[in-house]
Amino acid sequence: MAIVDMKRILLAGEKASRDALLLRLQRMGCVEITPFELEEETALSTQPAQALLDHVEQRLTRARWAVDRLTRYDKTKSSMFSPKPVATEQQMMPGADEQQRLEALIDALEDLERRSGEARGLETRVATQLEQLEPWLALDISLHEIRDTITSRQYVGALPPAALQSLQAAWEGRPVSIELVGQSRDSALLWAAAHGSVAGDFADSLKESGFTPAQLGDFTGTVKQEYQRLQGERRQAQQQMQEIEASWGEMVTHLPELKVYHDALKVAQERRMAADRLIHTRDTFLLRGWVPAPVEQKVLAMIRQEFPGVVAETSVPGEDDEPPVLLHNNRVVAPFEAVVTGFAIPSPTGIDPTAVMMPFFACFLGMMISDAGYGLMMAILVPLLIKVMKPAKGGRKLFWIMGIGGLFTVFWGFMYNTWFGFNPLQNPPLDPIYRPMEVMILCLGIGALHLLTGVAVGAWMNIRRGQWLDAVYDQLSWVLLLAGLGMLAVPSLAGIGQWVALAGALLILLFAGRNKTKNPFKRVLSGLGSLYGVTSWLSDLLSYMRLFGMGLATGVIGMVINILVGMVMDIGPIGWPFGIVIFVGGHLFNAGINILGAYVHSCRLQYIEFFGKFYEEGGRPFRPLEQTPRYVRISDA
Amino acid sequence: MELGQVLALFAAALSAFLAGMGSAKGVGLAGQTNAGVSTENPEVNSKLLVLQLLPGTQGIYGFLVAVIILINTGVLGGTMKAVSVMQGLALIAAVLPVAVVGYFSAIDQAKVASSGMLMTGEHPDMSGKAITMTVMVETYAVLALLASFLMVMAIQV
Repeated sequence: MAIVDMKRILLAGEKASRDALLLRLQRMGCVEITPFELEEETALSTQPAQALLDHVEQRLTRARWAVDRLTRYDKTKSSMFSPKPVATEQQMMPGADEQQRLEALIDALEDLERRSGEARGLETRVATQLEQLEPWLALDISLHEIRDTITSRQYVGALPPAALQSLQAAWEGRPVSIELVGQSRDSALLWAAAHGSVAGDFADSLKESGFTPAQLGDFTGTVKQEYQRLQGERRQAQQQMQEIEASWGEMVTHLPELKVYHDALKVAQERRMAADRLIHTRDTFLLRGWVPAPVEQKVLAMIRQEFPGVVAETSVPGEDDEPPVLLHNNRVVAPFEAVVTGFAIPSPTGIDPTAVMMPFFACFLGMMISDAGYGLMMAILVPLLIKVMKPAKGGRKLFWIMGIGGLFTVFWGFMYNTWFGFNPLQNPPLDPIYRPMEVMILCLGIGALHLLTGVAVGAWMNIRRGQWLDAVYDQLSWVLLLAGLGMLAVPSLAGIGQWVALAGALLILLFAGRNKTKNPFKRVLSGLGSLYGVTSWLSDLLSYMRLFGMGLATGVIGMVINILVGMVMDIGPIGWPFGIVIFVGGHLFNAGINILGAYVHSCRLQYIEFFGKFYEEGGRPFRPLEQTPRYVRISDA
Repeated sequence: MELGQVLALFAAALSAFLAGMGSAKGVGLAGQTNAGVSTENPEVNSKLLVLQLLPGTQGIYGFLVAVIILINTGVLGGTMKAVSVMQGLALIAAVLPVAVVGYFSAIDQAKVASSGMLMTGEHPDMSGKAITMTVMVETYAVLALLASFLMVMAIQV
């Protein structure tokens, strides 16, 4: 149980060995590189790596695009349970030839994308033209023949249907011909000719009626001919698109190697970014960073052995240094670090609460899931799933929390007498439905223990810093007050209890405001304010009732599922398969929703009730230079 | 069937449908936000599903109390016991906390969950805090469940 001690590390060497050193450090994954804070105008420029970085960045973007694009055509079902493929260290460092080949592959993909975009564009354009021509199919005259002559003008276009009749009526008997060619959705399509002598008036009249000339384009032949030509073009474009789609489908075979390439670039980019944090002279570099004290010697030994040209030096962090925070716990406790970091990283001067929290967390999980059958499934399935899925570090922690929580669930399920919703024992140790008071008192008792543990941790933090008096004023006072109040409830202890509570209250009243003000009156006032905080203890304590409520819910719903199954089973053999389906599905649902609820509520009890008593957050997580591939796992070999 | 029995069934129905309605509304609201945020940032979707599910528990609490009433009155045993009018009314009073608090807290919780989703969409590493914020609302639903449960268990039919 601890926050790992950090050492400052300083490395200096010739620039030639820089990249090899970074690669080695990246593979070890235990040195965090901190940037130097330099004045802007300095000879110790960080520029040389920048150009290379951009290059890698650009290639990485291309590779990511290629992988994303091809993934759409990936037909192989990747199940949630299948592990990521393995890549060797060698694959992660592709040679120049290999890189060229893969870059050419991405070029080909980009070309395919461009062609597919062009084909799509053509198809859209042709489709629009076809749409425009469609209403005019009945116009069976070659379009080049519709033109003005010496004595006449011709008009082709659309008109609001309502205006058509009045137009026809107005020009009845005059040298004008109006022919209705077709009807589109909201307009009448007409073809009109007018004698030159009235052409001006007719044009005005058309304008007033809301006439819009048709955009038929500039071509010879009839609309029908043009329409057929365009249809042919569209078919061609569609065929081209199909061919391109097929090529995408064929390219999918390259997806695995592109994924490896992407990750190789990503890892290279991480290294480049690290190189950017160093400072350089013409021939040398200087690296500053953090290394966890337990691996300090290992790193130094590696550098001495493999990089004779590099000087390494470690030192204890100075007063104003703020080391990054890395949590380290034994194997049983370590998974629960995920719960702590899910809230906040502890401050480097604070403590790592994981080990104190772990038994409570697992216990709460068990009380809230509270079905021994589900617990058994969790405890058995989790190790199997880890073996099959090989999850990454973060996910693995969550799995183990569930596995350990499963063991606690078996215990509490036994106490509550619930196995897959069945109640096998006649006289169970605890019965939440028919003897709820016992269980509720138990929940509050465990809650009180949890809260007092939090206070004790707070006291220990004060004592460790040599602030004994703070521990008395801030923590012991509350323990006295609360213990005293608790004793009041027990008749034989009530006499002592009132004095104990009074002593605690007095301590809080007089000393809670000690750092805020010198004025004694204000100080007591501030103490009164703190004393009012006793109500928050009540609500904190009550909060543990959720342990009972959530546990109850699991049991009752499990019971209901079994009652339903019983009803279906009673029908006879026809009901049996349905009964089995309801049983399995129902209990999976119940387990799922309750495991989620139990996890979330366990977290809340830690974050709000427990951490509120002592936790000091504000640390910065330790982020060593390491390999963080996205699609593959890197094998150690 | 007597009036008392009808009242008992009404109590069970009240508990199941009010809390259930609240949860349905809440999960629905949270689901819409989830879809919106996931459109922008598909990678956080699995984290958001947890948030979406949280307002669903109130419906379970209401259902739970309903089932206990059905067990106590013998409906699930096959033959319903005799229930006096006063007992029936008492059962209606008993389910009020889980029904009413369940209804409103589910919707309020969904609002917090939705805001939490937006936060998670922007800062995926803050999903733990979003969940904690959302669970704060749940406390009152749990307390209401306990109040209703204790009352229902105290009414001996």
